Amino acid sequence: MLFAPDWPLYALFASLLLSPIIDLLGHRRGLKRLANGYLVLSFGLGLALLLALFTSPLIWEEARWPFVVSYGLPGVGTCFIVDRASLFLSSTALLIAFSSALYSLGRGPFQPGFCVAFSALVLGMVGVLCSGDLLTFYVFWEIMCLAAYALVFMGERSEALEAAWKYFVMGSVGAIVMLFAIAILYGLAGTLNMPLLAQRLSDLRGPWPNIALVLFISGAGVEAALVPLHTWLPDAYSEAPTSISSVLAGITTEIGFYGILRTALTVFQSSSALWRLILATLCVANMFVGNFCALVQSDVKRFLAYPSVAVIGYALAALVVSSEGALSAILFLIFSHAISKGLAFLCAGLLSSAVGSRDTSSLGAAMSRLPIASAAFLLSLVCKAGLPGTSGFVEKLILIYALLASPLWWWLAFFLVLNVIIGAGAYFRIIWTMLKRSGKPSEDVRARESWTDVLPVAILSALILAFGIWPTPLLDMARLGAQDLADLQRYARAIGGG
Amino acid sequence: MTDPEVLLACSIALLAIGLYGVLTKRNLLRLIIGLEILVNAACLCFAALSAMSQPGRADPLAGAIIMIVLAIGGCIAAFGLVLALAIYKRLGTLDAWALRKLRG
Repeated sequence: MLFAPDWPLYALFASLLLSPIIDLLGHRRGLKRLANGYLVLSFGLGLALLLALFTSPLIWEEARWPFVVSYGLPGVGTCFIVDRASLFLSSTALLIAFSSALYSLGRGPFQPGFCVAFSALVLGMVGVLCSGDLLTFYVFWEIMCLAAYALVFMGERSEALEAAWKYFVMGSVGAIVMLFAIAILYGLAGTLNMPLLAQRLSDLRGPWPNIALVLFISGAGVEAALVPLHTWLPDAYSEAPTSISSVLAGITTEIGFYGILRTALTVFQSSSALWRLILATLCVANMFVGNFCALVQSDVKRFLAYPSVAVIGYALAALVVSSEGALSAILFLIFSHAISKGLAFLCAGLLSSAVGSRDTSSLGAAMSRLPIASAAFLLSLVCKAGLPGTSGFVEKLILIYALLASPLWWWLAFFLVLNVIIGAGAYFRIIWTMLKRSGKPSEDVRARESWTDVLPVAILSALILAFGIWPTPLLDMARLGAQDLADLQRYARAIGGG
Repeated sequence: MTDPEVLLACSIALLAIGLYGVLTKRNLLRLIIGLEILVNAACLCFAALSAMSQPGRADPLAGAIIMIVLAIGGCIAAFGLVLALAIYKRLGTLDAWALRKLRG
């Protein structure tokens, strides 16, 4: 085997270990860009390893997946279980991290510690995606969360402290509540290995699996921004440095959602049908809160943060159905959301730093000075609104199709369509206010687009258009991931059980 | 009540105390103490449930989990204290209600 699926994880781990030295070296010698350049290199390496895996024939060999790396005895030791869904999401995460690191190379932040925290955030996300037992899952979850709090804390304005504090308290309490759920599962089954847990919980009756389920969803739901636990999100995403907002809104929330997805499909799959009902309720609440709050925002970063709550609602609707079509729709949605939301935040950062204000009505003034960033910003908004020709259209189409195919939960499609329309209204309002002001270029906008600004923007825009016009390769990969997510038997066989 | 049940009851009591601290206290340091109590409650819960499910023998997995969770609890406390220090330097107060600028 030329490339092993767990190599990207080790590469990221090595890059985290090395990052404090690079960070220190850069700041001692006055090379403030060294640390950010190192981030670009290490995320680029991780992304290249994953892309090499996706282009190899290995990805199509059914019998090889999921790939298990275990340490110690099965059921007692820890293990990583890498399947094609986690690889798909890892490459999404690394793609967004890579473009954000490129952006930060030109625009900062250049604070000491940024490089370490960003490496830890990405390692935490990939670790959560690849973990095969709940202890590993929890450890990587905390690495991801602590790094995210630290990165929000590095925002330019003084409000960043408040946002980081809120995020820290809510996120920590959520993680501890999740830990209680893990403790109950451990008490019930005597193991934390996910496939083994699924087997042992399947013949248990009584209230305890349900209590664990409710605790787990409410704990992980803080990071996944389930309403009403989403209140930290708009503050944290709008106050974080722009390169970090792009990663947090683009993919970190979705990794939180993945925690719920993975456990709902494996650990809690057989124990009860309660989770579908809870998630269906939360899904409708998430969609409405996200879209209606977005309608009334005037701060551009806050406006971009709210629809992330709605997207979690869309993904939850598909999780409630959890057919193979719905699961591949989730994977496609996460990818498409990550690239368009990541791009929107990067462009919003460029435009708002050029005009010196984050008010949506003033952004139009920068349009003639920053033509590429403005065009890409409009493209990302149009993609989020779901216009044909962009990946946002495909994402919504396959999602609605998957929901309508369900005999029991088809009515969620009605809420979805309604919310897509409300969301599109919010996006077109911003597009309209920008275009209205574009005719009056203001004299005090003195900004230039450097290559570090243009390159990430161009990569993400090209992907939005490419997968909007020809989504087949991405849909194939998402289908492979969904097969791995849905096939519990293969998952259980992977650790030698079942 | 047997020993593990006492431990479990203590853990639930600690959970209640910790949640009370986190939800009602205004001082940032007290909030961090509340978080630490919650971490300890979770560790105690692991110990109690491990003793209940396998009476008479100690499960090494539970011990390993508790040590790791305590280390993470230390990280949480350290990060919280750094944040509280930064807030105190910037705003001159440790009152959580001073942090109410972001709304809507």
